[in-house]
Amino acid sequence: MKISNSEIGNAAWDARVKLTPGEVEHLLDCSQKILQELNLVQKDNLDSIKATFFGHEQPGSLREDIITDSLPLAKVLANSLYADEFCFHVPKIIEE
Amino acid sequence: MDFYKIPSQKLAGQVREDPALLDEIFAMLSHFHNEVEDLNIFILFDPENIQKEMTFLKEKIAKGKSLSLAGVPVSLEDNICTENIATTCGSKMLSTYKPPFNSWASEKLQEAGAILAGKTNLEEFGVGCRGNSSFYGAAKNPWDQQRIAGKGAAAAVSTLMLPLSIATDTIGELRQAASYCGVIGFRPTYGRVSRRGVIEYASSMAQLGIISRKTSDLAAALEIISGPDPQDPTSLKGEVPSYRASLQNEEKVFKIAVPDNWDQAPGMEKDVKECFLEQLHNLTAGRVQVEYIPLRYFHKAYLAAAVISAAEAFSNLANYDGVRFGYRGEGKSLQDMYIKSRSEGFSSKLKQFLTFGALVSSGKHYEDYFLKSQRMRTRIKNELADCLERYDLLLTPTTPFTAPLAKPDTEPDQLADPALFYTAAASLAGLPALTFPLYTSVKRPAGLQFMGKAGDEASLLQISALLEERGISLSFPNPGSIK
Amino acid sequence: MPEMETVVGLEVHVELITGTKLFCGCSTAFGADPNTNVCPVCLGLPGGTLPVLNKRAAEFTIKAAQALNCKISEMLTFDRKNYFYADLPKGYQISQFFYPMGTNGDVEINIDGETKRIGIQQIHLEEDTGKLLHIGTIISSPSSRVDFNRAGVPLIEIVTKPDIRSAEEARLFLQRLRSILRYLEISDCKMEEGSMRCDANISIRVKGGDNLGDKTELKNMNSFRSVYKGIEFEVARQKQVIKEGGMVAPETRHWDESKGITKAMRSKFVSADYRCFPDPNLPPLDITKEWLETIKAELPELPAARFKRFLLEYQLPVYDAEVLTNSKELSDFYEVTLTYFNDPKTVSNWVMGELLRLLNAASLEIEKCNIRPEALAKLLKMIDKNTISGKIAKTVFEEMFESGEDPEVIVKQRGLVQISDENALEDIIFQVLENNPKSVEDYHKGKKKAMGHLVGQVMKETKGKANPQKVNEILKNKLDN
Ligand SMILES: [Zn+2]
Repeated sequence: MKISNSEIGNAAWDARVKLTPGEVEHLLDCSQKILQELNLVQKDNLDSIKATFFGHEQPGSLREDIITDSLPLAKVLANSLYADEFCFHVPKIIEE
Repeated sequence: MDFYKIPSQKLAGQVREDPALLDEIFAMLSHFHNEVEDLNIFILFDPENIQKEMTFLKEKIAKGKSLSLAGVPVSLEDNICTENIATTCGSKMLSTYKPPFNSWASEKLQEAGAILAGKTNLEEFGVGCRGNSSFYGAAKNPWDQQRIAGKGAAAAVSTLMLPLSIATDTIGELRQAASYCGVIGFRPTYGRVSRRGVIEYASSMAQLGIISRKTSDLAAALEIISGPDPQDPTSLKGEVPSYRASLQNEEKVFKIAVPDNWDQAPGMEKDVKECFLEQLHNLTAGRVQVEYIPLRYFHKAYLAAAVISAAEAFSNLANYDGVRFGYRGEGKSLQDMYIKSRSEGFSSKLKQFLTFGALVSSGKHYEDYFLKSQRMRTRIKNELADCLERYDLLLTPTTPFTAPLAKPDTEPDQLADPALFYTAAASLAGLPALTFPLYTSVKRPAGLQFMGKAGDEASLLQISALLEERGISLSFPNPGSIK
Repeated sequence: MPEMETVVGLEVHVELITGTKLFCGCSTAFGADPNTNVCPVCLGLPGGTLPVLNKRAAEFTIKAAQALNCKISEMLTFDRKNYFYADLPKGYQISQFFYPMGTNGDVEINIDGETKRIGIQQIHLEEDTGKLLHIGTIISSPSSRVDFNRAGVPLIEIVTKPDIRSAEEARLFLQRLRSILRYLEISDCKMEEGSMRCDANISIRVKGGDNLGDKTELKNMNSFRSVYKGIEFEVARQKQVIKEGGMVAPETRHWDESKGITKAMRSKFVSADYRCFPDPNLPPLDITKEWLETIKAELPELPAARFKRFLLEYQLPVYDAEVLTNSKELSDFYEVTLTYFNDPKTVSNWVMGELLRLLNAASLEIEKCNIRPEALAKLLKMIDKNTISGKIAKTVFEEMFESGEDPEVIVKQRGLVQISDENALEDIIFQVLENNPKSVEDYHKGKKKAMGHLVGQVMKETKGKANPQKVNEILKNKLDN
């Protein structure tokens, strides 16, 4: 499968990064290569194989519904340059 | 005193006896730090903080606490959170970030009396190993400053400055760096060490690992940072084996498998091939049996890992939006602000990696690339499990080549880096792995990579101890000669 | 034009009333100062995002799935839904995309005296998002402010099949759903406060045939009434579009309560590709048979069952049984009252009449009502024993509602005991007849209405305390003799 320039553009937008034309070019090239190699990999019929999404097979765990301390407000906001005494600020959002 | 010659536990004993030794250790660290400054090992080396920790430690010793690493200086990679201490991930994005919490590993080390010697340099967010993405510049290789170290953590141990370094291993970056710098690098079973407080980019593969020069140091540190953590849902349940005790087993016979096509990596260096073969030959004696076996899927691991890690990174790094922390670019609209923050805060290489992640997980390619890679992962995992049912360990070179020359910033990377050709499989399968140093004919470090069964860190420590015992002693650049 | 029908599917989000969030120990309490119920996990801080699943939230969701007759997934799994938005701290929402907790269930509603099943496509568990606030008005505000207190609060999303055929059915379904979830005690389902939210997918088609246009997704309906009105409006709008030869565009529309119309909304996300994949931090967990059975054993009697039981056991009219069983608390109140005063119809009349009237007027929930079932029963017993009249009882009831005082105390303090003593009544009646010769005359002329006037006078004299039966008896006797 061929990857197009615009696909790279869309993916960059979805990752919320802006690439230079040179970067798009290079990424296109690299993607094409690795995906080609992957296509070779796919010659093995993998459809009947279960996918592994996790680092191991140990089942997940559960936690009791017990309240623990939240972060003090000062610490919550400490790493943000765009906050008032309670809230973080983002550029104005007008939805309706 | 030559602290670097003393095993960590012995040093800890001496510090407990005589806390005034800490002042000497401090002087030694400061001295070393000056010596190695050109190597760009640390993003943060804060003498004030070291002294603060030492004062605190003296109080604890006075209270008679049992501290198995008392006074042992240990560095953390700069993607491991330390409360109120900058944790940058080697990125402009986080250059001002001070986490309001500690990682599991930093807590455990502190409890054991270890001294946080500094935060080591890394590729931006720990992605890759080409020395071209840290906002702080690449860490240089102590053996040859023209070459990369892969990670500051490996360089720190290689220079003799520190006995132990904690760093992340996702597709094998830690093993790689250890191999480039001629030290022991260890990746535990997935889930053995809690990922709490680790800023990692691919959650299904990332593990904290240890870099050291001595197997006994490694075992001691591993015991401390292992253990079930209820706050990490992937943390391994059950008791942690006594790794130090496992080193007492000196009768164990090792059946070791080597893939028959072990030398098929792209870019395989002749020197590496030769010294690996030579070592293989030396290895086969006494308690060690080596056999060649065919592996069908092993060599596809680095391709699958590249796809999976990129897709996970795309998602793991989506919290960098310029709102609650991190670099923020000015934008009129919300989406504009996102684009500016991320485009200005991330390196070119990382941007491409994240875009690739978005590409392979998109609706159009999910089945063909992401899902197929995860299916391939199952094959690799099964193949390794089969192999390790019949053999104690699987052995390959750690890297196809020795430390590459530092590339100019502009030179782009490959998405599936052949440097990770041998290390990706254990990462995909969640297996423990260890790299032990080798030296090529021109005295450049390379590595032997052993992979073990899930949960069986002990065999890896034992083989490492056996190699030490056989006198395949490690050699290091003379600290005085570094400048 | 051929007969057209409305096709509606609902997506309902309900916040669970767990103590803590879905993946961290932060409190879910309402009304805290912004960003005070947050931690590294729910804020998505670098190095702080490892999620640990709240067991109660999982069990609540399983309970809901069981109550909605769903097939329960064998695995408890979570996926990441990736998108960028200001209220989403991690850049992804943890949800159940591939294996929803329950699928293929149904809910029964009663409409026009018949029972209809509305299919449930799926029910799944996910995290809520944060909230956007503004400084001043949205127009004057220089930026939007974000509060992450709600981020990570457990939500269940219930998606119906497109089985709903009218605004009324949608309203009834929602009411029944709320009733079920409140019986389960897993959510308070307050639409006005946002703990229950409903979006509707609406389209119209030729009856039994293909859609006549795309469906629209209607949002921002903040009460049962606005769900009803919003759907009504949107259906009418779509019919009009088609009548004028147009096509309904697939879009998200916004219900404007004040104007009573729906408006096309600017889309929130440019990309609709959420790139869902299993969250590598949350390995699957088996949902064992034993676990399911333990949870099932805790299921309370649900509204449909209680409704049927009320019909049979108490012989109540359908309407009474329906109103009473709609609310667990109300029907509990009813049944407890019966244990003290076993007259189902009378108690039902009082609960459905006086009690609901006062509760509605005060917009109060039954749980917060001053009157306890024992007190109501006491009052009814006093009527039964002729200690007070039914009319007086209503006054007493109002006072009980206000003050929570015991009815006997109220009656005693205010001297409201009914006068049934014949001698006392005869004296008063004698007086009334003396003072109303005209009415007496009218009565004898055959104007039976005059009798009513005289009774009224007696009641007035006794401040309503006279036993009306006795008064009638004595008066009749006097007048006729
Ligand atoms: Zn939280």
